Amino acid sequence: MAEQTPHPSERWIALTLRLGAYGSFAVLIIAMLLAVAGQTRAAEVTSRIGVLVLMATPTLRIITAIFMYVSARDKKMAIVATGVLAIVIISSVVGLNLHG
Amino acid sequence: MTIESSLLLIVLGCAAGAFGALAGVGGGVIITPVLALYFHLPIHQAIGVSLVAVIATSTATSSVHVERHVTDVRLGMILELSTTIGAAIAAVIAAYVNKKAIAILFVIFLLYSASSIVKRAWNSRKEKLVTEIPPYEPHNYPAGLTVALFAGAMSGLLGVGGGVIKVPAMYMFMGVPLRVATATSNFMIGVTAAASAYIYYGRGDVHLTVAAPLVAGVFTGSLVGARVAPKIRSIYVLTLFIGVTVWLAGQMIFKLSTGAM
Repeated sequence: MAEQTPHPSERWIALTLRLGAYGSFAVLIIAMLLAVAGQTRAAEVTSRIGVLVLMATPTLRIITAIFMYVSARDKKMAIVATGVLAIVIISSVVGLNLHG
Repeated sequence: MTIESSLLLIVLGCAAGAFGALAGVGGGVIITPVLALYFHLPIHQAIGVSLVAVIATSTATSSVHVERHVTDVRLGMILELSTTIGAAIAAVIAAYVNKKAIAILFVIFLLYSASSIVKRAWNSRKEKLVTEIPPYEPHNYPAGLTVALFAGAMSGLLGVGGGVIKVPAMYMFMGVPLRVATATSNFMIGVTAAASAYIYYGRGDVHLTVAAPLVAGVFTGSLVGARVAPKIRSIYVLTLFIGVTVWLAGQMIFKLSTGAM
């Protein structure tokens, strides 16, 4: 059962997810209020920020996990988390290049 | 985008978010076909927007599950290695896949999801509320990683979370308790969807005026769903989910046969 013992720092992962969820939710609500008020351009920019904050949240929680495993000297899991981060970064770079 | 359309998108997001919280699915399996069928979004845009909604469901629900220590974070991180590779590659390939082929694959996925949930509904008819997680040791990682790769590919191609593939795999092949498997899958689908969402976003397939109200609805639905979950018997939610997925599959088959999709 040693493998499943929850790490005390997992609360930082939960906090990162919560901040990302509530942060993007708040920004998207503001975007919709701006749209209702007829501020189309401001609404579009705010929507983009809200969606990008949401899309960045899973990446931020991987970074949090890397810090968590490094501080716990869990080399194996730090390598695993870094590998996941590398894949996500490669896909975001590919995505941004498509945008460009 | 009219106010009426935005309100309908909020309602759709609420329904998908509530399903996500109550039935342990990402909601993408409902969002993609509804956007394509009823909001007339091109299938690739429907998938792009759906992936953002899947990230919202995962982020909202897994923050709670991680804090309650129901999620196996280590197992999730290991399986994310292969599921993100599958998702990223499939998202790149998706641009070159015929729209009709994606729609046909989606119908197959909808029917598979319905059959998978039928099995769960049948097993849960005499369910007892289990609060204790039994001791377990995940095993058979090669099988888990292979299935996660496939689930990631489905996510990148169809805009779904892939929970209906990951949960049974963790439960049956890896010996993970169902409650932990569901929470861990919810945790993973955010990163899986993000890996392909960046690529859809870069291609211009994430329609912001559709995504914003939909995601706001998903958050609301997830929060309400998580609150009412203990008061609702899962058999009712699962039965409703089966009805919705079969209806959407029927609609897609009809549109495909008439050449309207």
